[in-house]
Amino acid sequence: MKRFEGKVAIVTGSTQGLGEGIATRFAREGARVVVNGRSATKGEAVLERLRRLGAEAIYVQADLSEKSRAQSVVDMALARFGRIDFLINNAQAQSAHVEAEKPETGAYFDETLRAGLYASLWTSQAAFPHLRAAGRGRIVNFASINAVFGAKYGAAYNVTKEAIQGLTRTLANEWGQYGITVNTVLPSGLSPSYTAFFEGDAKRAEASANAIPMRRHGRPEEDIGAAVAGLCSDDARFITGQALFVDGGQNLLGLPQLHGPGYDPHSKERRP
Amino acid sequence: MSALTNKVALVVGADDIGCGIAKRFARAGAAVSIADAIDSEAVVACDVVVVNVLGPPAVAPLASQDDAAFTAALQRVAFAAALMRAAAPGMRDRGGGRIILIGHRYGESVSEGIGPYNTASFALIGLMRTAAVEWGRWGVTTNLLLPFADTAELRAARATRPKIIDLFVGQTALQRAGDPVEDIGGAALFLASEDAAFVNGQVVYADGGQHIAAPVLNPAKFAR
Repeated sequence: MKRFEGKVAIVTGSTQGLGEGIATRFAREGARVVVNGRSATKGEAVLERLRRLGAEAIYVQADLSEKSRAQSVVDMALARFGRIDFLINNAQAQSAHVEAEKPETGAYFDETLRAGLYASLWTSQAAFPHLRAAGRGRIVNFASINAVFGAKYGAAYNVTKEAIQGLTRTLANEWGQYGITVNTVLPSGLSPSYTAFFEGDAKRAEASANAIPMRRHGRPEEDIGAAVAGLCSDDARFITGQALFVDGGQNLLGLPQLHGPGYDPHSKERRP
Repeated sequence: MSALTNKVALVVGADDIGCGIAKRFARAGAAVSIADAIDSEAVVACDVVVVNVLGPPAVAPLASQDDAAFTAALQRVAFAAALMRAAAPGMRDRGGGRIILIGHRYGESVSEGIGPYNTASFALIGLMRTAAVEWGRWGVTTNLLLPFADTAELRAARATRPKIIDLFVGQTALQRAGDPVEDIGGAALFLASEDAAFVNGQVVYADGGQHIAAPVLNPAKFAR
């Protein structure tokens, strides 16, 4: 019997990268999985890969910066599977790097806060009545080492990620009485934005792996997905309100301030 | 196939917490031994070592704590370091391992009247992080688990001060003290398992959310 047999996991932002790794891990452990993201093409591709693992899965196309769309992800999960056990709030739109004094910073705040902080709040609010009624549930939110160390030119992203930690602790305290645990994972893994950072530069990739005490990069499924699964398992039923770095110890060494202004994570997709 | 099938685990420190972890590991398939002293030969063969050696606090105001109390508390940290150093080479040779220190929140959320214990608890964080940074390259993860559990000490405190202890427990997010086997042992199992392969150098709270919600129980006031 697989560990998550009969369970249902919603993994937001799971059409690529770490989110896909997490969705894959849950599928492999027997969970029924709700895949979510903005790109239907990527979503259908992930769905196909999960189904090849023998998993039951659906894809819900939704931009979670709209409250009604965040609600719809939970509604679709219930309509299709009839229950929710794990809510993995991984989705986060990133904005271009810009100096804090530039006027764009304010607009980026609106964008990242809606897509990260508000999205996490809205999906959690939508799932809450069902988790409370079940008397158990797991919510995992996502923060970032970049935010903890205040990485340059990322004010909007950093503020959003630190705000999510505040949300995590508050929900943990309020909803613990219903058997719901709420934790934050701060991952370091081979996400698209991370690989883009050293794309085509093998030396830089190696140097960045060597800056991690475990001397390797985090694998989306086997490292990040596994840790999130562990937090959702019965083993971790007494862990709540925790901020857990899943980064091989990278945070112990601090964050080199290597970002420059002007880097645009959407340059290939959204801003050709 | 359980999480620790074919794994050899050693728990040093046979109090309620240590025994709870050992029981949970055994159920997960590990060959577990539990001890109060270092047996070098046994340590070298371990895939997972639980270092639960902090001991009980010496209660007195800082001004009247003597040198011996500080020496004794810090000797326990040195003992933890010796145990870890004994275990690490074998883990390195086998391509990885898990070191789990058991500490106490007194290292972070300081209570008055237990200076040596606060000091030793905080020292464990530095020790844990150093091992994480130096041994991570061998595939060895080192983490510090801070439990809040339904132990003999908590029950003794509750016998004399039930109202304050119930209030204290009720403030935590999950509103209960942890079961040494299922809750504390479960959290240790998470850290010992493949799930936590990339979790290294972390302080992990198996405390039902106490660390975000409530003060620690001060043994100088309530547990005597």
